Amino acid sequence: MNTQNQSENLSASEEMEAIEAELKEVYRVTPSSVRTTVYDVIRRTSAEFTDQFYDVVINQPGAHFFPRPSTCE
Amino acid sequence: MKEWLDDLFKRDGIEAKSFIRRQQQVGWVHARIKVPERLVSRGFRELKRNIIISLRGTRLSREDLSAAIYFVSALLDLSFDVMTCAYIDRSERSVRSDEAFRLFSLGQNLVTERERQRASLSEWAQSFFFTLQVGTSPLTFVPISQSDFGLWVFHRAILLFDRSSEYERLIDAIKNVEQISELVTFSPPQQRVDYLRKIKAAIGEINSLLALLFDNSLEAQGARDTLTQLLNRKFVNTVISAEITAQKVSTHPFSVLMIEIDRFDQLRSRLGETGADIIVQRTAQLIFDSTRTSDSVFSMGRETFLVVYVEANLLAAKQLAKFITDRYATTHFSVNGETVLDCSLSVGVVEYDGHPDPRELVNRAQRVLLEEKKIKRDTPHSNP
Repeated sequence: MNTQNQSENLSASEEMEAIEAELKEVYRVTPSSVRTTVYDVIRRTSAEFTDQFYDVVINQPGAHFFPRPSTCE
Repeated sequence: MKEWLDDLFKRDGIEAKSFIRRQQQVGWVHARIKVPERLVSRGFRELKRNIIISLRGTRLSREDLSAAIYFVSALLDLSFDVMTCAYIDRSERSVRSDEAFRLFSLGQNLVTERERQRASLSEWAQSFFFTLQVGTSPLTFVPISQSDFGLWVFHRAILLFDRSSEYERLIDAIKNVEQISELVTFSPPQQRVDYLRKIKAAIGEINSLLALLFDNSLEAQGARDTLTQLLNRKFVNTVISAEITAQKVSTHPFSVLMIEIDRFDQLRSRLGETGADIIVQRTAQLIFDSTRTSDSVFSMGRETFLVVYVEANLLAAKQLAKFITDRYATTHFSVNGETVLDCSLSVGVVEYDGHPDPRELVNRAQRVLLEEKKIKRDTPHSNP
């Protein structure tokens, strides 16, 4: 059992390392001016994006599980 | 979520480990409140679509727009990947914990059950090999799936172990034994040796899987805190989640009391570890005796306790808190011949407010408890 857990943990940690490497690569290949523009758009519109996200999700079947913004923000 | 979004795309670049940690935390919350990942995935698609629409309205060149779309998509996909890994990990743990708690509540004795089933499997194997040895014609024996052991695996073990991967392997191993034993029936005696070896190996595998399944459940079954015999804190989320689900149906309120022994460090220095343990045990007993059988009392650390007070609003919970603190104040503990008169409790009381995350309710009770202690500290003639 311990051996199994250890191998699961090892594999989970390897997965995270792979994601970390991919993330760094995404940043490396994206020009900083582009990242700044994306950030500006997000910052300006994040409240609207959040509302749109919840509007769509809450209308899905089984969405009564979903935390509503009023209780999560 | 707005804050999460701002953080995900923050201007100053990203620290990969903190990115992963943040997404993991979100995945864990989703697992705790049992949000179907399908919904999160749907939300992410919507998010991606809307961000891309907004990016099209910027003055980015065609090439930069393409880079921006790649950047947004990759970040959201990576975030979703981490959340999903964390979600799966926590869901599996939560399922095992829920199951262990259910077993505990049912009063099942897994150690006895494990030995009984080992004996039952061994009995079937002995009977099977005996039948082959005696060589009656035609060979008649109870198939393993119809034996006491097989019936237990198909009808009871699934309740104990759920459909874990080990359980599925156990089923496969039993089917394997069943198929080989049928082949043995129709084979001439001289060809049976190979089949018998295969059956012996398959039974060995069944035994190993059985041991693994029971070990997993026993590991998760330590439901009681050893010092106080109260419920272990690892089941707090399970119990509160069940109350949240029940509350959605019944709309009856429930509350949580976080209780702490005041000045515990001073008590410990004065009475020693054994004396402090005695105070903790008696405090736990007093709290437990003050609640109903329908309530759940947890040990949350050595000197901290938590009560899930069902069908009770804030007012009722505050009344219970007062009852406990008053009773505690008039209780004199005797430790190693010394009478301890100066014990008191602080209590943080909150009513469930509809937040789907059970941890949030516990955190809120913790915050109220800290405020309560601060008020006591600031009040003259009181020094918690």
